[in-house]
Amino acid sequence: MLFNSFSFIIFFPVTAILYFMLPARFRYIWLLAASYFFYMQWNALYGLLLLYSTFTAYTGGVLLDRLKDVKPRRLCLTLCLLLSFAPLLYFKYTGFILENINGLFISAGSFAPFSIPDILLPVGISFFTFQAAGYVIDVYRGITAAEKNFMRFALFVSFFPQLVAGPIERSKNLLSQLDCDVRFDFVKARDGLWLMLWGYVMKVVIADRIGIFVDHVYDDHTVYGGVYLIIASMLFAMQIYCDFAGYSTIAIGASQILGIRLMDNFASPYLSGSVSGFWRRWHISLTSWFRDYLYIPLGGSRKGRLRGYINKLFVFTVSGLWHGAEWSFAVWGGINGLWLVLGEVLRPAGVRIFRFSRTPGVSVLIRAARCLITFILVDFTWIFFRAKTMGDALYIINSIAHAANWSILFDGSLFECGLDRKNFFFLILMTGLLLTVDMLAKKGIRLRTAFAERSLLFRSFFTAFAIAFILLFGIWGGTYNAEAFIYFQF
Amino acid sequence: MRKPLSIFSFNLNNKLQGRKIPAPIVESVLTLIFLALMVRGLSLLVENKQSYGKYNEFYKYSGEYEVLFCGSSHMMNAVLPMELWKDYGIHSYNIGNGAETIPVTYHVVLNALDYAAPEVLVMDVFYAYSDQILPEISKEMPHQFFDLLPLSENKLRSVREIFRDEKDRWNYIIPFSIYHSRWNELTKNDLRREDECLGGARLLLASYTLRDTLFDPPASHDIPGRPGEYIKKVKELCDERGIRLICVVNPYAMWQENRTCNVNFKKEMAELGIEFLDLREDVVDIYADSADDMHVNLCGERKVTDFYGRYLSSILPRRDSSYSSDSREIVWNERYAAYVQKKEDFLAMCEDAAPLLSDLNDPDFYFEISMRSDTVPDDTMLRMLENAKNYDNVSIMTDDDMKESLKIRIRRKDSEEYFVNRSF
Repeated sequence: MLFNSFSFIIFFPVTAILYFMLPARFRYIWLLAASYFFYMQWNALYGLLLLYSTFTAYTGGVLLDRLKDVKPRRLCLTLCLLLSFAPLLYFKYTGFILENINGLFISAGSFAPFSIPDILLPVGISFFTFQAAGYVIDVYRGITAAEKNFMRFALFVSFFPQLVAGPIERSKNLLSQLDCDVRFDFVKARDGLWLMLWGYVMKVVIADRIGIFVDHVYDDHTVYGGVYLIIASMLFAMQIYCDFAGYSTIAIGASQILGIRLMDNFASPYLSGSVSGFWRRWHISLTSWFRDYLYIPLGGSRKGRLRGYINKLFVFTVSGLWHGAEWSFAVWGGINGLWLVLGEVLRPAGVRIFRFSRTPGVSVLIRAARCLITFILVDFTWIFFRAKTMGDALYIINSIAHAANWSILFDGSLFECGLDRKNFFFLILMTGLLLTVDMLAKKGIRLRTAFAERSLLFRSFFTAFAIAFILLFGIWGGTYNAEAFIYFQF
Repeated sequence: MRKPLSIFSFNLNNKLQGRKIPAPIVESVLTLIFLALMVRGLSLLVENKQSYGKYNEFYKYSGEYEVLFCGSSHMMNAVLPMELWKDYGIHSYNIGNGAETIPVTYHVVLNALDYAAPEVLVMDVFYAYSDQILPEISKEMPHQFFDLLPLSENKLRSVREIFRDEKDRWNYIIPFSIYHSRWNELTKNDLRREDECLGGARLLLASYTLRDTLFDPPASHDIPGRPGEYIKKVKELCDERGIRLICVVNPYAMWQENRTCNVNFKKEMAELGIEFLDLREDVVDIYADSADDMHVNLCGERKVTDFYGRYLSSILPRRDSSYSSDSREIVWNERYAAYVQKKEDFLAMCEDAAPLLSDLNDPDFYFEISMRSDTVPDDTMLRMLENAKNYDNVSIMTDDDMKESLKIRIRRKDSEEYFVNRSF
């Protein structure tokens, strides 16, 4: 069930109303049932996978709680993580591994390659696997006590707002809230609704509109070369942000209506002045997961500078493969790691260069230039993310490097790539709005808070207007083949 | 302390405190009211105006129809209800629609009969050769009828049966879901809803030259299972309500060219016990009266209408000759005046000669055609002009003093002023 589907528009209010009507002790059971219903709308059998993941992590948690000695605990953790990650490895990486083995065999002269099975990746498997695995590690580390109530734990793994595309919650934050012993708070619920509406604006008004143009150009990148690809790549950076942050925002808003606070997942990432800053603000729940459960156990930067750089490169490459079982994703992650390493290596020089940036007036320009450079560096890596293969990505980069068709910016050709002139200018307007909201958020100004302090009449009108705006300008319904949220495929 | 917005001069929060109505409830209700108003307004703005134009009059006068014409474009583009009323006093409406298969026609009839109670239902069965419920390529076509149809049990049933895809179903239940994307193509015409005043018909001002190649006629075959079932369902529906069902196939050029879709209608209809009329032969001059390979032009529409007028007059109860004086007929007279105005508007917009000539048998207008003696019209135009010799509202003159080869002037019969004065 997609957040931007008719089914969800009916499912969510019904779930929320019944949730608050039930006695507190039954609420988590209701939410668990709703979550499984939500997930099994894609495929009823996926429910079994979710159950397996839940059972493995639950059992691991209980066993770790009982075991006192280091060795058995370590063995238990290892076994539990292997069992937790096994479905993810099978569903996501079987084809990738076999393809690469075949590649090696063929280059070594073997003529009996493995046949590649056609395995459908279950929606959200990377998310709930990581969440469950994170819980087991937390119990091992003693950060969280093992949850004894199986159904409550099952809700932790399957909580529907964040089940299929995050945020990847930490047991410490979410499990404690799943007692569901909260009273309905209208002000918080309205704030949650406004969050959801902003998420819908990002997803169906901005991301899906950009998607039309980007798909048109990228799917036919041999025809639309040069400047078309530059524009499409820049727009893709906005698309993936609005798509993913939009989903997260809807998830956070929906949870807030239910009285459950999820962690922030994005914090104006494109306003970062460095790639490391970008990664502190982008997909925070995943980045921090890799930091806490992979980078730090590998030694982080504690074991020398060189080891720190290698760890960074390794973690980002793994992060790339988490996003997709293709070398292009690994390269995407690897380059991002490389940017981070280069950022650290060049930091002393950068400090000297930008010392004069403290001069009033100059500082704004310098900050804008740093944001722009960061955007360009990050956007360059998005090419590997969006292209279907490494070959395509290299072709696109070559085409961009030799761009000469600048006339398309003025002769109207841009408006023949799926978005007409009005839609294109509307998109620019919406991107401006998005950047404004992000800039205000970075300064700690929340428009929702300001609106909440207005009169009742204004708030009512504003809520209705926001919904009507999304209904009118959103890419949904008949002329729109509802695209899946991009991050579902991970 | 919450401050009210300056543009609102009162603070509703404070006012409500004295009345003990919880502010959240008031805010929620107000939000819903605002939302309903906004969505309604936007729906009206972006809606399919063609659907309103074609079908609003059906609902407006639904209690008055003695005859309903239904089916595909072969019906929509073949019968002129306003002229049927003018010439024969028969109150009818043409609910036919493009690319409408027999199953869809059944559902259109099912819903239309929630509003109208005709004595006769004339159903086009051209698509009886197709076994599909609705070809993928035509899935937007039923919007014409269903968009304006109020939500009802029958509408939901029809949408469920016609469409397999849930998204399509929602698009038909909530048409706004498909039309909201029109925001970027709105014009000032979208600010108002307007009846077409055509009684549901289309006026095809056009001409068509039959292709030279005649294909071998394919072997005739029986009506496939599904349309046969749905024709039976329509029959049952009519029987339940005491409606006389007449199935028909209207004329079209491709029939002449290659005998396309040579369904064995006559035999099947006889087996089903349904009255059947095949107009493909004799009723129109297919060489002069075609708009394209599938439909007759306005001249042909008039001839088909005239055929139905004569046929229906023979089976419907005899009408009082003073029908034009009662209040209902005053309204129909007004509707007819609007219809004539529409025809005039269409003719005035025509820029080519042949489309203008496709209305030569229109009794509401007087046509004056001047030609140079050395003008050589194409075969189709020649045939049109030849046929026009039988019409008393057309005068054809030879004028060698003209610079142009052809001149067409059209005026209303009761006016001296020509609203079309074109040279070619």
